[in-house]
Amino acid sequence: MSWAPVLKVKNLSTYFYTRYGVIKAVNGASFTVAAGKTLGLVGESGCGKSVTALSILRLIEPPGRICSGEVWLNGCDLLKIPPRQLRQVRGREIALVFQDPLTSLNPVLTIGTQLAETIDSHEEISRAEARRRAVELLFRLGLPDPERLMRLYPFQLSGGMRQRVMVAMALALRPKVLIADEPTTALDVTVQAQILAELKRLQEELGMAIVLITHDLGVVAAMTDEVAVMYAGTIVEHGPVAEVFDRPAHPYTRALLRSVPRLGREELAPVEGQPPSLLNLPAHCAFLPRCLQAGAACRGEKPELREIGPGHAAACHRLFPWAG
Amino acid sequence: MWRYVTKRLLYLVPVLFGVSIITFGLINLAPGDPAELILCSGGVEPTKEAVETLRAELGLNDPLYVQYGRWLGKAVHLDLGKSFRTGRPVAEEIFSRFPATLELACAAMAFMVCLALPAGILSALYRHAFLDHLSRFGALFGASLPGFWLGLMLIYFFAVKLGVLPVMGRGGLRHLVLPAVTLGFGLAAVYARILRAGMLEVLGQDYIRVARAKGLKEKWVIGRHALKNALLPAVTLLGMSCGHLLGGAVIVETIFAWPGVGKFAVDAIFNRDYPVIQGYAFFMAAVFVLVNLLVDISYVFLDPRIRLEGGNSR
Ligand SMILES: Nc1ncnc2c1ncn2[C@@H]1O[C@H](COP(=O)(O)OP(=O)(O)OP(=O)(O)O)[C@@H](O)[C@H]1O
Ligand code: SF4
Ligand SMILES: [Mg+2]
Repeated sequence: MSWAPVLKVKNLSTYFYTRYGVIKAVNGASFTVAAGKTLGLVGESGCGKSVTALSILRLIEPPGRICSGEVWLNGCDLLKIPPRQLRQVRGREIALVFQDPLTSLNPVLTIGTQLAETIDSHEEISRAEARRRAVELLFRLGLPDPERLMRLYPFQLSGGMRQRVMVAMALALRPKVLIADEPTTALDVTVQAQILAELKRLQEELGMAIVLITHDLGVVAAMTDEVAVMYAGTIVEHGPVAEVFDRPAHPYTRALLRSVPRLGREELAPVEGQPPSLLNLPAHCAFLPRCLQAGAACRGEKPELREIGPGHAAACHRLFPWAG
Repeated sequence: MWRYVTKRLLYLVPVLFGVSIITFGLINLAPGDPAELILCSGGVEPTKEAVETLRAELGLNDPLYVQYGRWLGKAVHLDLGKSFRTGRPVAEEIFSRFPATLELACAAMAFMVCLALPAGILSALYRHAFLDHLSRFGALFGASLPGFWLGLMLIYFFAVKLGVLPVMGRGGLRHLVLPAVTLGFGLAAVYARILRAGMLEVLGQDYIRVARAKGLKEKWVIGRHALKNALLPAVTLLGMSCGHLLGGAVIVETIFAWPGVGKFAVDAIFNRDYPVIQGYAFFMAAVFVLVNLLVDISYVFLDPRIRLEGGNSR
């Protein structure tokens, strides 16, 4: 198994130009995903995870705009390729499973139509062949009676079934990278576990890389190989899961981990303080007002991601407070 | 589905009953004696005796409920009485003129769709661009313009000044253009706005993003995923508009001397031709209900949520 990154996001910035001002939803985010591996992207609500996912596929619409950055996949920068080529990459090389299965399927088209069109808009095959493959996909996702399912409309399916359909749709063309934006938050716990298990199994079968966006650190621990922690539109820590969980370097990561109830420690401690307003981000470290470790150096410029161990990086001026 | 259609057809009975009572009452409240009007030809006053005889013959001396009962008894057999003026059966007169009105309404509808559909869609796709402003200005203009004024302007330019289109009467396609445009323009304006709003709303939906994320061609995303959803609100209103077109034809038919039921009805009103007025109202009510039914059925085909509601599957 190679560790070469298949997806590389560098310095991605996406702003929304609203009438209240510029919302810096993603602000210089960088991370990589290794082929066949899973990266967990975590962070509190509103920190820019979904906007990052949409930016990677260039699905941001006005008033939003991708201001800078690079998204490397297969040796091309997705942010620079012409629209025609972009269309071919979307769905085929890199696919997206959205946060909300209830609104992600078109209410007036059948499941079959929506699945088959994904396939035959990328491959020169007949409608019938596309439908046959769609049935096979549904079957693979463990959906009962796929033939019948093809003729149903989204409103006739439960939330769990719809999300499985969404996953099937995303996997239809065996993409190299799957971005799953909180694929299970809208679902109950048992269905959640089932879908995640299926994702894992399909990943092994197809050998694709997954970016799993979630705020559930339990899911991260169970599912992912690496983790990237996002705060106010920036990645503040990035590394192998075991490493980050055992030796969290960034004060925010530590606070996050403290907020998870563990065995023998019942109380759940939410991260103290308010997330920053993305409308006027400070020039210095955005975590400063909530940081228990802040020092004079933190008033300086924004900290860069720095290597602190094998594959482990963090963005903080006082990673080693004893050193100054 | 069939139960739904049957149910809707049964609604027709109370609606027609109500309409007939109301029109009957209103007509009889209006001043003027039809017998007198019939006899009063060429400005010569008719004699009292002649009027009385005719009133008796037409049954106008009976109490209202007797007159109504008599009318209703015949109406259920599709006999709407005879016109006071022409002496021919009302049903026959209406049926012979209705095709002209229907032709006009259909042409107006076609014009409306041809204008509103592209205007609404393009204006949503290129929102705040020049095209959008143009179409929104057109919509405002069209919606606030009185139909008769537009009709007269069109006649002035195309028929009088340029002389390219005929002004009066019914004939080939060329005769149809001006009346259809006059009748359809206001509605086109309204629908362009409805479509624009619907399209904008749909374009912001998650499933449109999903469709793009799947790598579908943009024309597929718009034409298939967005349009079908954006059409739904417009189609619900279409039933009302069909009635509006058929009813609104009255003015346009008068301006363009179009030989339809609308013009016939207006003439009947001026002549106190009770059976015709009554028959026209009755007939239009039936058409209105039927057209609405047709539109609702088409809506059902567009929106599976309604089609399958409580239906075969869970
Ligand atoms: N269309 C938009 N217009 C303006 N602001 C937006 C828009 N979309 C997102 N934002 C802003 O971008 C920020 C990041 O949003 P995003 O959806 O990426 O958060 P998230 O990390 O996915 O949160 P959650 O965990 O709740 O899904 C939010 O503060 C939001 O206000
Ligand atoms: S840079 Fe300073 S304020 Fe920011 S996280 Fe590190 S210690 Fe805290
Ligand atoms: Mg999100």
